[in-house]
Amino acid sequence: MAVGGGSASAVLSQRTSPGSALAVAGADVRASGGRLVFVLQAGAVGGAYVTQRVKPLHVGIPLSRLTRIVLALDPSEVTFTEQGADGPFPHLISIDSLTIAVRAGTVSGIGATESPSASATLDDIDGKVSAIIGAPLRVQADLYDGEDLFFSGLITDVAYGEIITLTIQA
Amino acid sequence: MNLLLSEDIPLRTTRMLGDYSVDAVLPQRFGDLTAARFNLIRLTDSKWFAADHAMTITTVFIGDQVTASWDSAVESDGLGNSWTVVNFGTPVATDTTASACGTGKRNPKSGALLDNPAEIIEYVCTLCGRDDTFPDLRAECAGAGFRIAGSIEVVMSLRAWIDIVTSSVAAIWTPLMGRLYPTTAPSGYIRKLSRDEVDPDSIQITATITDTADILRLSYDVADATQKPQHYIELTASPMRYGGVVQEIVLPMLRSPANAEAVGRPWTQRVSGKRFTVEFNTSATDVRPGQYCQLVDNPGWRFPQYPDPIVMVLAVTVDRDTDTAQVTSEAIVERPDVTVTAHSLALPDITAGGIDAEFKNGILTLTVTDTDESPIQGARVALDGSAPKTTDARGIVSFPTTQGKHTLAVEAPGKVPEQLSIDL
Repeated sequence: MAVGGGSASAVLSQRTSPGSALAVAGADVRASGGRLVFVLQAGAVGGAYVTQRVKPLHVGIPLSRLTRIVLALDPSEVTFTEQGADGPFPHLISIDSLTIAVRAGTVSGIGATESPSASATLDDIDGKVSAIIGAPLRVQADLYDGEDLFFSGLITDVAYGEIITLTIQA
Repeated sequence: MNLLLSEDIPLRTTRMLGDYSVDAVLPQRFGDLTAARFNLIRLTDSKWFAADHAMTITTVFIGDQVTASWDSAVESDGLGNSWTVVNFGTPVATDTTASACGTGKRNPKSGALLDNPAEIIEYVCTLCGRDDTFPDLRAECAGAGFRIAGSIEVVMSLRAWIDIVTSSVAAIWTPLMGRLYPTTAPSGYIRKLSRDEVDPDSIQITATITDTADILRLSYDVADATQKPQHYIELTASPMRYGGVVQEIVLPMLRSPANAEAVGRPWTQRVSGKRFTVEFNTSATDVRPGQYCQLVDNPGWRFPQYPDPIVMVLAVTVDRDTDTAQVTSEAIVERPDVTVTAHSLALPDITAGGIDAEFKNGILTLTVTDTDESPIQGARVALDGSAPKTTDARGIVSFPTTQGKHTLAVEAPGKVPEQLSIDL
């Protein structure tokens, strides 16, 4: 798996030092040595340059290789990719850790457990995501890990805010 | 409508058919139920409901008695719904039950009976507005000849229904896959995990004897009308490792002795054989439950006598921050020999075929027939341990013998051997 998980936004928020306000919109993105480096422009944090290496994201990976969430919105599907990806909606912040276990009705010794849900967070600072997805209850959502369909289900819960959290159940 | 696995299957009710006093769920029936009775639902004293789709009725019972005074009909409402009813010539007494046998739902395109477990699951998913497919399970069940039968006649979640169907053939599943488990030998694509992909320090191996048996007794052929299994099969591992521990399991929708043996044999090998639970962390985050993986040349695997084990992945947790997957798997490293040691003698009373015996002038004449009453040629029959004789084209074999109790041993191609007692 060549694609880094996590998210740039999550790291950006970690960079926020106590008492300082970080303007995400002021960030510039440059490719450097196969990694993305976020460089904050002067004035963003107390007039100083802040440079921090974020989680590796391989540059040049085709869109289909990246972690993404596909929502079957009416009338068309919308794909949210991780930030930094070459997609029209790079608003996906993270897909939480997810456990998928096999179910077996009577095969003893094999747990009949299965993660009932997954969650994904989307960056909605500019309100663009909420304008796109509206109230997507019972909308089909497919989580992809590269080429692999990792989890598929319906959206059962939406928490709105600057970060939108979608809960998806199979 | 696109329902979650946790939501109930949207079965219709009698209220949707008309102004009937009874309010009951309308059942869906699957597979060959010609040897297993299912309950009919009283709509009126002379009109009873069989299934919420077109089906063929072969036998009808009032109470426990077969009746000939009936006909069946497929009704529809012009809205795409059709259902099967049984009409009796005379009204059935109020305190009497009625049941029937027949063949269930058919594939609307091919006309074939829906009896492949994966096909049944996929059909019920469509009732729930879903388009789930289980191609691996479908192919595996077709290859193994697994045909199941049963009904949905109570409200239950889709998840619970899939559990029932898959457990009937010892399969495992997740929302994204289904496959038989354990197979006698790992089949299909095996993902090789190199030593660079698996952290050797993370490998944890557990061997347990809390979930073992060396005698497995499977009950099957559950009749909807009685909710009881009509048959059982008993399989024994050799050598016994655990002192004759018996595990009994009911397989609700499994049918036929041949299927019972095909399901029971690998399952007995699993619970009686040597196996390990293997947990490890891997950078291969595309590993998924249901997949076979092979740990290649990994120093974390501590058993050189079982090199490069193949494991079945049972659970995966992908940690997106560290880009690793935590895998729980099972390695079956030894599979003991398994023999069928017992099989239920009694055929259900409504099963056509079997063995007919006639004793006349000191000659015992036996006619061996299949469930469709066609003669079985080539069946080997031994009387009281004598040398076996082979049935002819009419399924007939004869022995000179005396009155009294005798033992018959019968073997036929594709059938589980039978041991029968006969009193002449």
